[in-house]
Amino acid sequence: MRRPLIIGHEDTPEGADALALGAQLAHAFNANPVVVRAVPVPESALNAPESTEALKAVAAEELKQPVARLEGPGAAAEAAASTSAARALHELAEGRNAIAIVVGSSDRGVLGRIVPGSTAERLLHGAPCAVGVAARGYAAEGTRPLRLAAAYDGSEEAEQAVRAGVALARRCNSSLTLFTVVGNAGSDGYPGDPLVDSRVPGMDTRTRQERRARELLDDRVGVVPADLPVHARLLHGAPGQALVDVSEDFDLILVGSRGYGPLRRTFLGSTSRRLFNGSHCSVLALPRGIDADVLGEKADSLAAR
Amino acid sequence: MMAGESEDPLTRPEPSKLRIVVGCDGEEQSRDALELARQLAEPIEAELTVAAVLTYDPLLPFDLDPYEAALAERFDQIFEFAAEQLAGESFECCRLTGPSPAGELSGLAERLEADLLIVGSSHRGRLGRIYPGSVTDSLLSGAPCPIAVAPRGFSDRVADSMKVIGVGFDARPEADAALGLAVELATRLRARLQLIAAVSYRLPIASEFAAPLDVRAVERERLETGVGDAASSASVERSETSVEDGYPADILVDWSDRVDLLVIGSRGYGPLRRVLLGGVGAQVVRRAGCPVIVVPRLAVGDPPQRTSAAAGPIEVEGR
Repeated sequence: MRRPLIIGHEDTPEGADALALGAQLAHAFNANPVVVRAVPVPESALNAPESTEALKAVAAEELKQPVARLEGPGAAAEAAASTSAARALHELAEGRNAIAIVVGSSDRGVLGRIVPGSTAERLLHGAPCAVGVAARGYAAEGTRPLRLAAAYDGSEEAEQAVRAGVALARRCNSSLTLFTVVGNAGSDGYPGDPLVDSRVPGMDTRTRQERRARELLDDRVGVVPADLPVHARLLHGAPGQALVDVSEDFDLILVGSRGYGPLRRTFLGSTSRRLFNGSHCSVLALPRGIDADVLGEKADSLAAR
Repeated sequence: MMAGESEDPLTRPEPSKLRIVVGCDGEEQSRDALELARQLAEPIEAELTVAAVLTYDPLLPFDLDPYEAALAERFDQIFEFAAEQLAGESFECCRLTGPSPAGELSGLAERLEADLLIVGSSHRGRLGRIYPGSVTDSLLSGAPCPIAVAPRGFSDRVADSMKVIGVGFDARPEADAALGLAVELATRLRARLQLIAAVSYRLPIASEFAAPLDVRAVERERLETGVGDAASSASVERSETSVEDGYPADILVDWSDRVDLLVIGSRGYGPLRRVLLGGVGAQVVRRAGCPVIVVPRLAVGDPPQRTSAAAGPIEVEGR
């Protein structure tokens, strides 16, 4: 059964960006794109019959145009009410077992930054599925093969981002670039720390670190199917900022959820938080735990929820 | 610096002690977290654990003896720093290493069944105000126990006892956990409980989605009933209530300058038993002038306040 992919819609340029990215991802994930107008409604009015009627009217009028722009089968439009827009999208995704929620950049921030307390930020803390945030201007760029990137540090979470990236690249005929970041020296106890180097004559932790990162990246690229155009690049600096700096060259960067916290939930770690805050391109955060539909694999035991 | 009232043997705290964990990295701003830990732990005789996390790069293989030595030295420095700031308060030390300080603290809080995890504000925030840094930010999204955040510069204030505990209360089920912890702390600290409710200006007077209702009037009535019921059933010596019109975040931030500690709940959706900020909470933890505790949402059937059995001293060397 095809699962829904929820597109949070607003009648703004950012809403159009979300629609464009959502349509592309729905196609890639073999999901039904559902355009949703999330309506914040006071709690006392939430269950009034008038509310239900008004919501239906909203869905019919406001969403007529956006849903018409979605091609393919299974496209739908609806309005969802809850005490906040983020909550409405979250609850809908939970109730329908959605594969992802896609929203536009916050209209309050500069350069599409994720603003604390915004709808996108709240979704990125604990959503029951993948969360994509479309970069500002994404809709205006027109459809073309995606330039995909994924961050890889050898962790299980990053491995999932890479696998999702491989699956997406295959279905969208896209290129995929894997990044490994060699961290900055200087923080407490960091191996690149001069503290360690000064204790052992000839020790150069920085070089060791760099060599290990290169091995890791090469090993991972080595097991990607040979027919996919995959590139590998080593970056230097603070991991989040290093990814922000290269984000201009891509259309979508995939990141895993952090390595602690509940399974099947999207929770950002500090690297992806920084990336979402500054990225020039769209970003997709994946929940912790493998989602076979995202990977396009028939893994029955894993797909069972 | 003395805090807390003198112990009255007749009103000794309940036998089961609260377990408080405080994160400390040895930097100046962790003084604030330590000071908050001292002010809370001392009068209620809580079990106090100071946790230090040193990060390492997961890309490096660990066969470096000198690295071990450097870490040990750094841990010792951090605990000396903590002991100095805690001024005689006894505590257990916990040494953690891992790629993510928030992940390590979160895991420790879970293992110890901590009742409270205390952290500081970022040095980039305004003096006297709360402003989460990246570790605190991560904990405020997803930690498994209540998170207390100390304002920047809290350790420089003239230490006083915690006399008034404020609690943000919207009479929704998700506020029960915050109320539970606020009542527990107010009882143990013998402080006054201040229930704070707000009828939001954001609510339309008449909603287009519910034309016949005067939404604000309905909301005010709901809140007045809710805080009244909560205050009368709370087992505290003294409590007061307030229902004000305004933006809830503004009202709570205003109150943060008039109470000694502010307790708020997590938002009403997302995983249970995890700290998660809603729109109001996200603003409060960036502007409040007093320490703020954010409490996870309870699952149905959870006791209103979990008090863990005292765990023995532990030394965790995670890697």
